Amino acid sequence: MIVTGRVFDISRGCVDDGPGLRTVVFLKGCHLDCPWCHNIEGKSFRPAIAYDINRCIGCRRCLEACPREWPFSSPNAWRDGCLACGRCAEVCPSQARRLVGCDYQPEQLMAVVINDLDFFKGTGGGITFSGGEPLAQPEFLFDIARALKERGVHLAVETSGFWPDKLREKLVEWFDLILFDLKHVESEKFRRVIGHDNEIILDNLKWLMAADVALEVRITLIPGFNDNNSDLTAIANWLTGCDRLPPVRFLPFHRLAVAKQALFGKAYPYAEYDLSEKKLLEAREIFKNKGW
Amino acid sequence: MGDLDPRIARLKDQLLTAPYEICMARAFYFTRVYRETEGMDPCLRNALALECTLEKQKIQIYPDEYIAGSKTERFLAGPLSVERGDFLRTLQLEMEILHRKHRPFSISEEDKKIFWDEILPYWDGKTLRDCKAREWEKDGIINTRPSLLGKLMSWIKAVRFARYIGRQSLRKISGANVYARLTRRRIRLLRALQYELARNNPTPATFCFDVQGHLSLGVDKVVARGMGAIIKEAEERLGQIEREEPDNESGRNFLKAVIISLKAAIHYAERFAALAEEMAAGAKDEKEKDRLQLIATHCRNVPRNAPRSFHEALQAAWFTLLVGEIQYGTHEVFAVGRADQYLYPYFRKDIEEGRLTKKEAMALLQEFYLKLSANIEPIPEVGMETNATLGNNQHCVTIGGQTPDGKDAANELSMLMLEAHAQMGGAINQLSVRIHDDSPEEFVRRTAEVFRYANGIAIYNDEAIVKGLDADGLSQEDARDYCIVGCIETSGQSDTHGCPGGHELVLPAVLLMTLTRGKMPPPSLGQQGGYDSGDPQKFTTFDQLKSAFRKQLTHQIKVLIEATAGKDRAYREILPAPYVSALMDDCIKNAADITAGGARYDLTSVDVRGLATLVDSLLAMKSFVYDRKELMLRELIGICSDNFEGNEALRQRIIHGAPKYGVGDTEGDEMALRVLSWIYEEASKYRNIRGGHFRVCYYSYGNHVIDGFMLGASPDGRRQGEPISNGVSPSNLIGAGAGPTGAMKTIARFPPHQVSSGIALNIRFHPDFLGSEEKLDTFASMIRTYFRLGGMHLQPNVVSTEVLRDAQSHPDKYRDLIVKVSGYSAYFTDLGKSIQQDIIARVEFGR
Ligand code: SF4
Ligand code: SF4
Repeated sequence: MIVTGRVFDISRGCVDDGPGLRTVVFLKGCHLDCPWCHNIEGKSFRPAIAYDINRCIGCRRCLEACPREWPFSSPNAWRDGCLACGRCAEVCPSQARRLVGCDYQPEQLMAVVINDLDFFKGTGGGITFSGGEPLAQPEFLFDIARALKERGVHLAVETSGFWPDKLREKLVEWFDLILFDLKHVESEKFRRVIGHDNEIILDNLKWLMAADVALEVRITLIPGFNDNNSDLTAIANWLTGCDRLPPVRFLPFHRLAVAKQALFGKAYPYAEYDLSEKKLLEAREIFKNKGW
Repeated sequence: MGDLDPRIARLKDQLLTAPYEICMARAFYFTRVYRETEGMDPCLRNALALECTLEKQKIQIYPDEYIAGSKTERFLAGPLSVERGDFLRTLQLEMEILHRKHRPFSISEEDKKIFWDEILPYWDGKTLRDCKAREWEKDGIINTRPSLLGKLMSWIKAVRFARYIGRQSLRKISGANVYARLTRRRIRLLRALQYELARNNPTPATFCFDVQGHLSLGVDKVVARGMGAIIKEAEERLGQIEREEPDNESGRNFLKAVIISLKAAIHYAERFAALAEEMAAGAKDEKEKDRLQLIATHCRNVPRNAPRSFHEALQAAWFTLLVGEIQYGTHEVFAVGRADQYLYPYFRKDIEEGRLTKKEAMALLQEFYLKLSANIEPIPEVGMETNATLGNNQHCVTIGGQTPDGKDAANELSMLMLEAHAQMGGAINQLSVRIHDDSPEEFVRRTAEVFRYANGIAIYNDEAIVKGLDADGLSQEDARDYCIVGCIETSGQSDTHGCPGGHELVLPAVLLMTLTRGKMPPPSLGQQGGYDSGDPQKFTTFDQLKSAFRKQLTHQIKVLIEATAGKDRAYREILPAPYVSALMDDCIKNAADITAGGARYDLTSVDVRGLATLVDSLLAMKSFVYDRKELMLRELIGICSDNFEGNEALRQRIIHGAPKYGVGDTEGDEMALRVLSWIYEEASKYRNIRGGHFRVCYYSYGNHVIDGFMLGASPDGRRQGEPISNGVSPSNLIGAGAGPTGAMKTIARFPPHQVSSGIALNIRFHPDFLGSEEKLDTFASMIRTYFRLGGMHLQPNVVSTEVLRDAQSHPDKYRDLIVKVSGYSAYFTDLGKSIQQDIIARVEFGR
């Protein structure tokens, strides 16, 4: 049986997720539930409908195509009980409605992402799998990775580290670069905010650092969660206790998700916060003092 | 990189804040000489007019300048090339409203009087434009003297035209004219100018402007040898002709004109020397005295002799160009050539001998760049929507690339020239960077880095361009020594009379003609309409539609080329360019002006616009009408002519559901390649009147926006009045989905010989795209990859949408913000609103 993967976005010509020019494939679904996640459409494994009112021309075809009766009690009422069957998106002429979360077979995805092969080779770029959590769809991920490796594509994966340890070996076998999103090292805080244990995550990170694979630790500075002096010092201390000192990149907290709220009819709890250049500089300073 | 030299900062500020004026001096002296020399050989007349202007025009040396010489009697003014006539007509119309323009022009009352009473009456019917129109009339290309019935019809036509383009577009193209008072003189004038549109546009799909120019002026020769050496050459050739070819009167006259023109140029420099000496004598401040004496020393020596220093070489280069500008008047668009090559020996010598520091060299280069930008043209109101006024004469500087024998040519000076551009935050002249497969990494990376500080650079691929020029007949050495002229056009350096500008074909208009049996867009007064290429009701297959389009295309190109011949004859007969020819390879040897085929290489280009709009429209029709059979062609045509009114859903489905050009999609690519080859095949069937062949160019400066005003909706979903696509760039209607690489992949497949005259690919990036050292490497290697795949040209604009929007609302904050339009660079806030919108609407990558 062919395993399919659920993808919620593919973005060409990216320069932020690994070396060179890259195509980023976003796999849908993640087992963690970080309240600040800016890919709000990537968290759930279920497909969903994005609705962009600015593109809508009001032709009402969606309404006619929908197998259900639409309640009109509120602008987002149609979402309740939506089957995500995608019929409305299919008939929508302006792509105001899009089905987010399409299933691809490996070769279908391959045909799309291999387009820029010349540019991958020329710029030292490749493909990055992001999400969601790409390792939440391990079989598909490794299938497509194997196929891409045969074509000589540089592969990176961006992960939260929250996956069973049996995936480790394969991960380093197929991927050239791991972008590890480290959120926090303190179990108590992690559990309180995200609702999971971070033992697995830290174990995986430790193992990866001992393994022979390029690794970059990425820390998104989350207001009030990990951007204080004490939080960052704790993270730095934990990292210095590992086998090697991995390169660390701080990512500013950004508000891309604010624009997405309306598309998915979901409120984004961090909408009020903004990135702070100052915090970034402070974080870099703390790590510099710890030997980075 | 260091801070900008305060002197340069002052010069730059002065340029950006100077008022726009019109200077009547050149027009006055040209008129006087032409009036006195009726019946004389045209080369001699032109040389004498130049001589008189250079002798009489008032000159000034401005504070802070170390390179002397400006084009007019004022600091920043447009001269009028009355003999050419192109702007004469619009100026007549707009004289009253000059002060109402978006950046007002001022003209003194006295000059105005001279214009109305002396200049205009003399030139009426005698300008190049008049002569061109007469040629066209003779050849039956236009008909501006209709019969009585025709006159009646013409009013119906005018109404049809106005209805077709709609009120909004009409207002935009007539701009401030709408509000001008209708005096009796104005009404008379309007009647006299009724047929002006036809005198540029033989059909609604073609433009044949009055310009020639757009060539590489032999600056390199003057910098290497001085004009004295060229005069000697001309004198020897003249002596030889007098001895051996007593009947060759035109050759004799041409050479005499060459000698007069060059001597006049030398004399002009000497006037500056004398003025500087006089000012130095009166100067109180020692530093000021030194400055003026230095200028005097330089102007005594160059351009007559070979320069003695880097500084003098720059002065020589500037004089060479300046006199060219004055000879030509407006629209000359002379390229500076490969400045990093011909200036390099002087630079190296001065540095080695310790006479020059890099810092000094940089400031001089920056002053030179500013000089190149210091020209304005009184653009007619219609152009204001889409053009810039300042620096409209693009003086392209080419750096990098290969030497004639195929080695890498980039040097220390090339690097410094990049840095000078970056440090100044850009200048309007086009810095054109040549890259080849073995260009040093450092050079490519430095080029990429400049975009962090300034836009305005275009990057060219030697491999593709040399291949194209080779097909155009240039020798391998000359092809490798190419430079960029005008916006993005390729040319041999100082050896090619390439005529790449002003013969334009609007592809979406050709398509609309095909869909309406030639009826739409409606011809306006005096123009021919389209050709009846068959009834679209009967196009039952896509192939039939295609072949009808080809028929229409064939016809339009034929008309355009016939029109070009009329213009070229007019140039040859009344307006040769002996000064320019003097500096062009082989003209002296052939004793013939460039307009008479004297140059070593002679070519003409067809300039094509709206490729993406056409290809997307063809793809939309193929997909919706013929493949999916969703509607009849007839219905789609009707929907377009109703501007998609009531059919928004279909419009959206076409935009999102039909295959597209420039996304790396096979079907889109194939269609584009087919269109390219049709145009090439057609154009290459013809020869110009000098025997040179036609080649094809794809760029649109700002005119794709004006075309948009004039065109109804097209089947790709573009609505009436909206811009057509620019250069070879994908349509603004498509999203960012294909990334920057989509368009590059498509365009890299263009066969170089079919686009040998040049292409313009605009891609806009968010500044974050270059945000780190690694990203800069990626940017540089992305360009190299595109070139290795076969891409010819790329001009990135690195500026965010927010900044552009902010600049629209606070122009004063962003006076020096430079953007690439389509081919040329401009100060963003100096541009008309419609073209600003077009630039903002372009997809932005890398956020
Ligand atoms: S996805 Fe299906 S169920 Fe949901 S709104 Fe669209 S058509 Fe209706
Ligand atoms: S089908 Fe699309 S455009 Fe039409 S009403 Fe629904 S969302 Fe809007």
